[in-house]
Amino acid sequence: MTSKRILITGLSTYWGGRLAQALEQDPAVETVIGVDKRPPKVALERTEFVRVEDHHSLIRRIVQAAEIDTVVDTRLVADAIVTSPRLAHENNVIGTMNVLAACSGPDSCVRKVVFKSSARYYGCEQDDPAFFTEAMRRPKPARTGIERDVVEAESAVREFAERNPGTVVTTLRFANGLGPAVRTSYTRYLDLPLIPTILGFDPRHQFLHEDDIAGVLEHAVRTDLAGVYNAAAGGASPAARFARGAGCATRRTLGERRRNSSTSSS
Amino acid sequence: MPDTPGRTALRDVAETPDALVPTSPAGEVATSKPDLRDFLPGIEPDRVVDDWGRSERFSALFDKTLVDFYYHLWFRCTIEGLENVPDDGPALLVSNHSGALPPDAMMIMKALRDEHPKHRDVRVLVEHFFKGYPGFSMLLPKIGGVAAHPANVHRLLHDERRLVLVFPEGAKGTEKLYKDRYRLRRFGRGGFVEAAMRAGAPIVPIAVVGAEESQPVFAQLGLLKKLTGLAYTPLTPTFPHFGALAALMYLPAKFTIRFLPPVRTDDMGEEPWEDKGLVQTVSHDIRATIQEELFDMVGKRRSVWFG
Repeated sequence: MTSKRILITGLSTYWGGRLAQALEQDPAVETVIGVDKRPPKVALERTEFVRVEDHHSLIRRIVQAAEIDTVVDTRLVADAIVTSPRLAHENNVIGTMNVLAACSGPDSCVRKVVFKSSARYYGCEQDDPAFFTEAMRRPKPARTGIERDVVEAESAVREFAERNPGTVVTTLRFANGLGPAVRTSYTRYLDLPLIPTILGFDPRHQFLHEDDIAGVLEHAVRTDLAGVYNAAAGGASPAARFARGAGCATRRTLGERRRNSSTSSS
Repeated sequence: MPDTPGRTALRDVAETPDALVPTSPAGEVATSKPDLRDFLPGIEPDRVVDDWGRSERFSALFDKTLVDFYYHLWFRCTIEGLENVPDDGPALLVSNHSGALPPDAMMIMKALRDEHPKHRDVRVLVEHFFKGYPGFSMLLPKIGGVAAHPANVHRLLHDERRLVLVFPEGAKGTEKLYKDRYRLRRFGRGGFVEAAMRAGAPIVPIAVVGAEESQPVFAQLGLLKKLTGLAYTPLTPTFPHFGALAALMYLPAKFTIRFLPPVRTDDMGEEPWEDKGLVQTVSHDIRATIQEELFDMVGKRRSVWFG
């Protein structure tokens, strides 16, 4: 493993926190520094937290002062309910630009950049293929603000990779995360007592367990994987199927409170 | 439903005399914590759905009831040349298309599933616009329909090595009137040949006789189409006066499905799909083969209803 001094941007996101937890257990990792606007939500032992806005000069100063060799960017907001579209754009596009600007330059000590992206990059259109490979691009322009942000952020990352051929740049396109701790619009939807679906349609969905998201990020830090990778659980599932599966998964995995209430009701 | 070790563990439990334990009230369950998911009510509790959304259980149900009836009793399908369909590996099946709501796809699928020595499973390419229709959007993937996208065809043929059925005439075939029956329309833009070449899969032409008479189209109702926004509104013996029910009302024409010798695409040189002229030639040749075969079959047929 070549990464010894790691900077995690977006430490207060669930993924950033989980990654920091995993990395600080490893004695081979010298330093883990996390930056974000808010304090982290998970318990951390030796990760140093610095509270900064996504300002490139501040991040750059941290990168240089701590001689960071690996930057993991976990800030990307891919869920419209998390924040307002304007703030999401600020965070996703401008924030990514700033983080990348902090990593670039001839005297930069950064050797690896891992960027957490989203499968929203591909969008969802009627005439899409059933499966997207990493080489495919969305056939039509983005429909929502979030999708536009993801596409823009990724193009910034691609540009960074072209300008810095000596840096390993990994882009990970994640499917929707599911699990007991993660809160997204999907987990809220599946938490509803009765899950509404659209009559006559049964779209296929793809998910990734929260532990696997953290695992994929850790794997990308530990091994040099240049390029773009899709990260999703094998296979796709129609909505009716996963909704029923999650009805049980709710009981099994989404916390004690729900387990008690749903077991007694079933 | 994710397949977890808990499910198999439960089956083991279910075979023992204590099988009733999981069904008892929640208080007792908490002590042993078995996996109760098998006991949850569901429309299809143990169905197998693949990545394309095809439901094993639903397609088997559909096959055993409706398709079986049409195949054996209503259309009395005669199958010829089944040896032209390979026993394993990919092949692109190319057929003529007809009838307002075409029964030919279901009959070809049934023939290969039941009568082929290897009981091969076929995926049918359907138009993208079906994804936008409620009901169809749900049903077609469940019985083996896949949206006609080059990437999907390549995945099915090259990566999964399956049989794929395509109707290159597309909507033009189903729209054609009774007076134009058994006259093939333009075969798209040759995209199907390109897909087969990329996958190195042979193309098996199929000639189907009978489907044209099972649901003859006398006219296209342009005004109704505009009013309803449907993809097409043909005037058939049962539509529009029976509405959606007309989709299942076919006349009992005798079906003959003939599989023709396969056309190899893996011996056409390096990257033959780059040669647009070759693609068009192959496409045209296959169209001509099916057309000749159709004229031959229709000419030798003595009765529409008895073959």
